[in-house]
Amino acid sequence: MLFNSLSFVLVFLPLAFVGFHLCSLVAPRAGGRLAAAWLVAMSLLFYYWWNPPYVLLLLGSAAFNYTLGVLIQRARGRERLQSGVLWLGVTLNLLVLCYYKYFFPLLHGLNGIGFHFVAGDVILPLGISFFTFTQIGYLVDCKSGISQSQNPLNYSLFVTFFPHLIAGPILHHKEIMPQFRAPETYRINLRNIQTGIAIFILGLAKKTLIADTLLPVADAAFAKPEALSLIAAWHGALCYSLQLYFDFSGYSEMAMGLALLFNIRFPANFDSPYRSVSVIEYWQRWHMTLTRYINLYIYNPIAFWVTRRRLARGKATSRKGLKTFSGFTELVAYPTFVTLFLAGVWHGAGLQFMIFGLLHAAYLSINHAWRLWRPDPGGGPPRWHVIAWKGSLTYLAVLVGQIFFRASSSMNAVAMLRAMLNMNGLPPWNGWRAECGLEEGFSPAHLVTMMNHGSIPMVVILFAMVWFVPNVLQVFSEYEPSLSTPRTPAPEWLRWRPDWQWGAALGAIGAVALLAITGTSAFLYFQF
Amino acid sequence: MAGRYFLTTLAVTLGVLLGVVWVYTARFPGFYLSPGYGAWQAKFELAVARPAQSVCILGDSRAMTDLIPARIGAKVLNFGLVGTKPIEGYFMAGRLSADAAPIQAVVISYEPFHFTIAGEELASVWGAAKYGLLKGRELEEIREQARIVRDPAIFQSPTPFDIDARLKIWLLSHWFPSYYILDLISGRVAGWRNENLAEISTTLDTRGYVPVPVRPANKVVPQGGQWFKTRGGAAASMRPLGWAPAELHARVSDFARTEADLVDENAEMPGFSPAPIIDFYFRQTLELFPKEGVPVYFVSMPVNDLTLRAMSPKVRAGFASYLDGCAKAYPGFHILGEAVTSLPVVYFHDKQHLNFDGAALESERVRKLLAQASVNCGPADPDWSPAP
Repeated sequence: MLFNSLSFVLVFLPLAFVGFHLCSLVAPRAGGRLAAAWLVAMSLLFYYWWNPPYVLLLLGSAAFNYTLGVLIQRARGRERLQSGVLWLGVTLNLLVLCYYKYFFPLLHGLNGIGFHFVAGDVILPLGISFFTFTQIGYLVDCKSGISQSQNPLNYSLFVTFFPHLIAGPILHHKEIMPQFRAPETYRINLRNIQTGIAIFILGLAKKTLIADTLLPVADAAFAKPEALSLIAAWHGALCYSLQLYFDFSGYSEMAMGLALLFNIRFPANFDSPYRSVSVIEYWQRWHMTLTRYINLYIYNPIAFWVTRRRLARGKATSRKGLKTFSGFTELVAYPTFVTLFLAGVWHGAGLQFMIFGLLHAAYLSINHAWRLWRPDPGGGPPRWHVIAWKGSLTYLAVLVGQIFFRASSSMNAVAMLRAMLNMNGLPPWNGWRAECGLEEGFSPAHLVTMMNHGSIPMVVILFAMVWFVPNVLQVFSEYEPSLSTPRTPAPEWLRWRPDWQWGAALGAIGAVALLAITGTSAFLYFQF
Repeated sequence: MAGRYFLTTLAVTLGVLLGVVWVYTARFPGFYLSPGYGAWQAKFELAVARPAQSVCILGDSRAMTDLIPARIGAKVLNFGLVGTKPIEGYFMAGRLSADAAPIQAVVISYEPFHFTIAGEELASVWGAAKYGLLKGRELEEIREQARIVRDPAIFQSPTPFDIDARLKIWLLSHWFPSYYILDLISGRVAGWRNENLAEISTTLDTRGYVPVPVRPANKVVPQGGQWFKTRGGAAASMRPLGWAPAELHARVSDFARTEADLVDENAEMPGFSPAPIIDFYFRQTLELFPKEGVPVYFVSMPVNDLTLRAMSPKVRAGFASYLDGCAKAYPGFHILGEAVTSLPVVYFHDKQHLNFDGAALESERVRKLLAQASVNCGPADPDWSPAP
């Protein structure tokens, strides 16, 4: 089921919400166990809605990892046994993930180069990457002693809680389990309900009113990039970039708002990434919980291992050592490339995803190198034109990465980049208007058509929103919608308050967003 | 306290806005649904007011635009509906059958492609619901049947209690505005009111014949030995063949550039295999009339000669064999002429539908076929043409 479907908004969500709070009211002495059980049941129904047989996979995965977690905790003091159980868990989790995600594409790929395997197709279980990663992290932390023994009900909720089940954010048990245990989670909290509804409406509007209207332009452009002129290629690429931005931003906000309706705070997952002035900052703002996860469980272990190896060889690991070529390569570039390569492969089996990962690894390495070896920038805040230059360069680098991220193959991405470099030529003199989505003219009378076509004026307006309008974390900062603190709160006049003016505005936005639910357009991150 | 005002204002604003649009969509569909709506309403009226012993044509948009009742005979009425398949045809047939006035004969015409599923979801049912042919009860019947024959073309795979499908049926048949918002936008809220009123009276005058375009649509024009398709007055955007590859971009894809653009969807089918749910309703239609002693005739509308050349022989053979099978299974069902026929592209208005000259030619052919089958269509008017 999709958050942006009428079945979800009109049937499932009201049922889950009312049932949860009724359970909390009816059985307050049960310490929320009834309400938690209700949420688990609804989360399983949510998953069952999409593909019934895979509920068994989800339940099996949760039961298996919970059991291993208990085993690891009970084997405290027996290092080898703990490691054995951990490796068994990690290996089996990854095997299941690889089977669903890579095995059949691999067979198809091998058949493409002359092999003759019987390669059927399998439906990728929704959210398998997310619930697998969440649980691998949990097992690793059980071994490190970070994770305490858990109640099976709370653990089930941690894995299956529907607002994060299929596309994140990737939760860390340390920040979520205490919330599931806390009695106040199972009490009606008007403040959370108001904030949750408001954020959910904004996310829904982003998805249905913006991201979905850009989809046809982006899809058409990437369907035949070798046929695009310079303008059409840039138009298609920018529309995709905005579609991805508003799609993921909308999803993240809907997830955050939904969690709040059940008195749960998620970590922030999206913080205006296109405003970044470096690729390092970009990764701190885009899919933040994935960045945190790969840092914690891939980058840091590799970096520690390399550091220990260098120390054993008597080599420096301090900033001075980092400034040498071998130091930088071993301590920064190597872990970065391995981590981002894996992050790229996580997104899909195609070569384009590997290039996407390696491209970002190169960006990050260059960015780190620049920070190490650049001339002293001096004191004081950077001037606006420096910020604009850095921001533009960062966005351009990100855009090139996104071409690979979206393309159906690496050749498709190269064709798109060639078109963007004007290798296919300019459009015919009377064709430019059509290629900018303005065939019906540029006038207020055609505003809706223009929006539907992702026309150039709309693209400009959307970029203005992306760069200058405060994001949800900033607007709602006083109401702490997430576990993270925003960098800067929104100006006072733009901060959300639960008053009638905001109620009217959000009611209007909600009505329009609801009207715009015309089909079932999946979120882009659902495929991962 | 402010918190309560927030939720109250939010709920009231949302409810009022949604309610206003909902009431508008339900009360004034003729204001914003495209002029096809007018033609449908006219045909519903015609179904009720038709004279006894009429010869009723059921079919898709080809039947609607290619068969001129006045040129076939005075007793002929055309109930062909744009964008429909045999499922909707069955329910239109139900309206005819339910009426007391006896029918002399029924002529059915659907192209092979309309027996199959276009895309992932069969959208024609939803279109027919919007245009008033299918109500909640009928949609519910189709849902149940789709589940029995395990065809996910219309309602996709079932969800728990089939809620997705049931909810969509309920919302659509109760005019929930999300399903109509695109029509409201493209119809500019009340932009089709006059056209729909005009369409109703024209369609009643022509006894159901609706020449293309039903709405501002594509038109085939010859230019410099090449064929071009233009969109409502956008002829200025036509360009000669061989322009920059950028022309293929979605923005300009509405304009055809090669003969290949005149080849219709029948040529894209690798073979003929009817969708289970469509097959079921087609057969239901074939059962419905013979039960009442009314013979049913199948007549194919022509495809253009470019399509015929590009069509797989498997499609032609498969379609013919399917119709033959039906004729054997249902004694009251007869096939008139070939299963797939063609006309030169000059007789076409666009890649599927005939222009008036083509329709006149085709109507004459059908008139003769029905006469051979001893159907009394009444006197034809060979000089009839639509009012300018």
